[in-house]
Amino acid sequence: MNDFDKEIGNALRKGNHFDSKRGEKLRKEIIQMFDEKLKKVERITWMWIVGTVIVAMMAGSGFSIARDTQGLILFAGLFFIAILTQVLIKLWYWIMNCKLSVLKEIKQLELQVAELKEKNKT
Amino acid sequence: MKTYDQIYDELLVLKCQDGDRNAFDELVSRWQERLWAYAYRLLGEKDTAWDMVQETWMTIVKKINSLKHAEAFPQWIYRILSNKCTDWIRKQQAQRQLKENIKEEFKDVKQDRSTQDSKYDALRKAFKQLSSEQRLIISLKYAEGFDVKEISKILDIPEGTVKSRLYYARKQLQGIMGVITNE
Repeated sequence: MNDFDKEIGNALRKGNHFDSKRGEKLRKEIIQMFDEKLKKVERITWMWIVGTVIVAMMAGSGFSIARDTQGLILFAGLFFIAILTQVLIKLWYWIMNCKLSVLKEIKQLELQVAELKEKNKT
Repeated sequence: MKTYDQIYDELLVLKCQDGDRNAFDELVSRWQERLWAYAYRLLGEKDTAWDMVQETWMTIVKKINSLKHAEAFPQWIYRILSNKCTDWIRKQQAQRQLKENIKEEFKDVKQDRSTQDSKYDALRKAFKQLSSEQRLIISLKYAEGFDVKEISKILDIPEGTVKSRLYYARKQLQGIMGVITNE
């Protein structure tokens, strides 16, 4: 980087007057949005789980009162699909949680190493 | 080698993906000013810069879980903001179809050329004369400190294109500065 490059950087970095009050207001709005998204995801997941439980229960009761083979197969299939969907959702959440936990642990470790390096420098 | 701040940002991103509200709060606090300054440099309007930053955060809230590598967060966030700013600039250019006169822009700058501040002022005004692509590249390189490889990821263009655009943008910036200093 020569002098002109440094001057470009300095010129661009200067002259920005950040309005911290407005920033604070926007930050609160964004956090609220994030909260709403989390709640929405949670709501959808619970609705899906409750829905599949209801379908499984209905299929189970239908299976017990079905008289012909076709009915038995239909209700058994429905029951199987409802249970399988629920298991898959839970499995997916479990895998994601495990993955994120491992990644977070690695990052914590990296962070500690970086911290130690900075301490050693000083 | 990654710095402590970079690793900390990555950890915050992972926590956000895990639904940690406090981590997201901290991430917003750490990035807000940087993003606004970048948008303001490109757009030159404070209110529009705020709008673009808000839209960028909205996109991040929606899509943060789809980010596969937390390391790519800086490039990802700058790409979203750059795209939004470029779209806005294009819309404005299509609406107005006007070009500002460089000499008129520099009238007030020429009066006090000796001080460092006026030089920076001249550079900022010269910067505004560049095309939106050139402004993006110059801003990412010199103000945000990204290297060519990172810029190519942010703008989704080959490294060679970044280098050539950077070269021509820098040359043009020097040319405009030359016009002012020669007069």
